[in-house]
Amino acid sequence: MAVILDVRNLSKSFGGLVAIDDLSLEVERGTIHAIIGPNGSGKTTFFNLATGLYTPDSGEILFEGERISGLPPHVIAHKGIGRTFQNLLLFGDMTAVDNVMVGLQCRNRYSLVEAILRTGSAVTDQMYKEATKLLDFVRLGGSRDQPSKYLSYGEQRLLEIARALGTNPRLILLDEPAAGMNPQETILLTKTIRRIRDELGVTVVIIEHDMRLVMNLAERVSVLDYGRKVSEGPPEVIKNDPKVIEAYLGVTEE
Amino acid sequence: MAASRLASKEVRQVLGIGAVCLVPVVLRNNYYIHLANAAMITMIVATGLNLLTGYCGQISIGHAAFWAVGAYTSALLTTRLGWSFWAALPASGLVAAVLGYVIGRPTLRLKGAYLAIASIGVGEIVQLVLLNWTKGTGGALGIKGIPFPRLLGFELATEFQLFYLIFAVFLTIFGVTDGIVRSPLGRAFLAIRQNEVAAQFMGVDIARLKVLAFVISTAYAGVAGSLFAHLQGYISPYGFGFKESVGILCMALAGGMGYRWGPVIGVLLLTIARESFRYFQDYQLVVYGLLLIVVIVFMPKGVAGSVPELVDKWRGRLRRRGQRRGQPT
Repeated sequence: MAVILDVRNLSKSFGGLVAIDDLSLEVERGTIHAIIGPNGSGKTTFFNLATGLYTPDSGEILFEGERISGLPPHVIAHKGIGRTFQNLLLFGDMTAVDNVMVGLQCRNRYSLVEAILRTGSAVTDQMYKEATKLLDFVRLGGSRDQPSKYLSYGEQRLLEIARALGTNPRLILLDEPAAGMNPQETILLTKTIRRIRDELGVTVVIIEHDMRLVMNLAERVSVLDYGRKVSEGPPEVIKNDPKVIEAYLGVTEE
Repeated sequence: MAASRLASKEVRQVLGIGAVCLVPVVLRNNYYIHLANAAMITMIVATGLNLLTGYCGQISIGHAAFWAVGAYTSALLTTRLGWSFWAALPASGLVAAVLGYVIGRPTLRLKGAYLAIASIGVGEIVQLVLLNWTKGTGGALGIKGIPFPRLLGFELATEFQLFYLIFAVFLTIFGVTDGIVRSPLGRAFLAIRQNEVAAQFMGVDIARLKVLAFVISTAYAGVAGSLFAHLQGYISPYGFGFKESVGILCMALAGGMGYRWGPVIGVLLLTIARESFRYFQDYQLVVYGLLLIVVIVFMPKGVAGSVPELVDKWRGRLRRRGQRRGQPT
């Protein structure tokens, strides 16, 4: 299996705070890869580096063999990495379907004139259909014409996933998708994430605190602590790794 | 059903355009037609501002500068170089757009209040140049004798005739803007206003599109400036200052930012208000300001955005009251 995301000796500090410290990581194509770690261990910073919001101080990130670190976010989106956000960043006044359509627009690049000419209802109808298909995929079809700010917290998280899928990614980064969801919603989410990989063939990297979800879903888990990778492996191994327990619970002095 | 809906929409459009064409016939009074002409020119500028601020979320309080650049370009090209109006009109839009690009590239990296302050600065600089570059712009005296547009050998010299020319230009700009707003580009503009950070991760090149929205709005202002110069026949630096920039922004705000009829409604509303109170010259600005406060407090989305919401609310209240009355107690 080929490596889709290759992180090499990545470091990033903010002032005196070292957020990511010499991190190396490989994500295999077609896997569901979880990144866990205590709060402030650098998980979201890693996503922000991989999607171009930050540039690394040193090290590099390769996506499908091509160096992407240092490129701006919209270019990385066009290259095939989609993402969701821990703190929900939707286009609040726009309907669910319009949110997804913004993502869909990433699939084609229009010149100004083309963009103006593409107002025909046929084009809009086609995009509307595709967006509806993605909303159905995350089970939000019923709320498609609602302004996204009126959706429930769990629904907004699903909408973010649909919008990211709209950009036609080969790799999707999900930042705490289960946060704020009730147990039933989390079960459905687990199924949806599995279907993203199985049916759409998209590689998934997921940051999550819900350990049941992680253990259920992930084939590989990387554990971060203070910006460093302290452990990596299949979930069964990670569960019993003393280093991981130490990162979460601290060390007992004996 | 779709076909009949389409037909009725086109019928409505033709009827609407026909109705506007009757306006000068109904008004008859030259002064009123002149006000209508000036209002349509202002609507063109406000439409550009609506695209920039209402859709793309970027503020400019210096747009009178680009209006001025359009007016001076047209005035100089026709009086000094003998260009025809028909060549000067697009040239004015182009010159304003080029200036918009040069200024937009660096300033649109700023956000919120900083962008607003920078745009005020731009407005002041342009006005100072117009005032002091006497050789080029005629300085404080301005430019006189700007010719009327000619069409098929006839001079469009009356307010009545110019009405149809200005209306045609306005209609074109309104149509183009409507096309932009409904296109993927318009959706990308809205996405930037709604959430800039999220938009860039969805593949929207926010830096480029902000500049694009700015350039389009400055081109509109330039075209409006050209029409203004040929309508007035005389221009001076004093008609294009901070007051005018704020005035147009207020009109767009009052009408409703992000709604396609917003600029039209806002300009009509404030033009009528200003004219109604013109006998209280001294209090004109007070009335103007009061009206704006009322709109912002009671209709934060502007007339175009808030009136439909208020109507819905009242309807719901009436319905509930009706139901309550109908219920047995």
